[in-house]
Amino acid sequence: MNESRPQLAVILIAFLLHPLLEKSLSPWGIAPDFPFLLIFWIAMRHGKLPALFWGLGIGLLRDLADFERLGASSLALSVSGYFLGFMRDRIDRSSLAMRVMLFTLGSLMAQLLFFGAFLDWRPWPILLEWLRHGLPATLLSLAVYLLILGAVFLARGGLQVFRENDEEF
Amino acid sequence: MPRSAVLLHRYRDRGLLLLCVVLALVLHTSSEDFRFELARRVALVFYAPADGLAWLGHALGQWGYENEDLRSRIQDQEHQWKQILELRRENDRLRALLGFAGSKTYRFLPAELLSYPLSFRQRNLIRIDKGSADGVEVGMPVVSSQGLVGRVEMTESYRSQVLLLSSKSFTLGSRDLRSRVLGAFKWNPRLGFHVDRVDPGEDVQVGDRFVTSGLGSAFPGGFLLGTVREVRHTPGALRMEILIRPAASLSSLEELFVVTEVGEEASGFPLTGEEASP
Repeated sequence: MNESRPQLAVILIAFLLHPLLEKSLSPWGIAPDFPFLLIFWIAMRHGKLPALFWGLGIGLLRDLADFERLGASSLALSVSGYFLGFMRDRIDRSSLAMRVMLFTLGSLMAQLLFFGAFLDWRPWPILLEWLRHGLPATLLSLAVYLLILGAVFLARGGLQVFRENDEEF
Repeated sequence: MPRSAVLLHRYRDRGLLLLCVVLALVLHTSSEDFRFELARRVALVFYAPADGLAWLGHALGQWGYENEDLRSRIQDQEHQWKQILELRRENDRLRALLGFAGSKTYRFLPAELLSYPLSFRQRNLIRIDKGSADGVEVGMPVVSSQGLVGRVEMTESYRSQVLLLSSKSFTLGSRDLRSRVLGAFKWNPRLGFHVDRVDPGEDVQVGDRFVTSGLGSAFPGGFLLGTVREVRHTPGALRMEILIRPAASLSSLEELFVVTEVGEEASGFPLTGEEASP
């Protein structure tokens, strides 16, 4: 748990800042999916059921900003959270490539569920909307995830060097 | 262990997943009114602080920008005011060298309108909330930010009556700011506001501004009276008919000022300075 504290802190701060920075972060309507990052972390750390409940709750909070989509984000985040938690016991979690692949899959699943909730007898407008906003948002979220991983990796490396020096002296 | 407990344990996770999915879908497919009301109530609790912070951040930025703008304007105005003071000193010095009297300064007492004439008998008389206890005396000019309004007709301790320019008994010495032509500013029912006693052929044009002349009356010079809206040259007439649009709107008076002191020492602001500059 201690090792993941910086990661959790970064994601929590990002989630709290999301409503404040949403407009400036998404000049073309595309923003990194910070709530999904949080759900991903919960799923990886605590498993499928906490991820399911947190996904439902955070999704509801997110939906409340726009009542027309009420239920869509909670559906997307809870199901994708459950899926990520389900998969975490079936993959090699020490492999960075596997984690990145799982993140990408989960993010795509969340986006597809979110946009799928609005599907009706005319699927093309929704599909176009997903291509214009959903897919770029997935890629942006992936980029942010990689940045966080890089930051955590550097922080841990720096801490390790400090500890080694401390032992020497 | 009973069979139901075994089944519950076995399918608990999937059951919870199903429950969450059903809940999300029910919310998503519920009526728009229900969704709106729910979102409104919960958002008030959860997003109000974030919205407040966002508003505060935006407002602080806006205030900072406004502050900067106002600071810059104050600097400009201070600079202009210093230039005006310098010019006034120079003007006074030159007038003293030529043997003229020094330029006038005024002291303005702010007053609020208490009543406006409604009956015929009270016509052209307004009441203000300053009286003899405030230093107001009969005959003092009363102005608004646009120009001259009238003169104090009667004073009590804490209020006064002011005779408006639109009275037939009001005649003022006036001067064309551009051509310096002198005339008598009056009102009558046939012509409205006009300037009388100007000979035909004098240089008066539409758009010229007339101010009080300050000659031979208790009124100081330089207060804006109005703008020429029409000049009538009647063949064979001894006088021109110069019709004036008054500077101060007498039907929408609000803040008024009584000119309580006129002199070289009195400190004040040139109310009609910008308006009256030729």
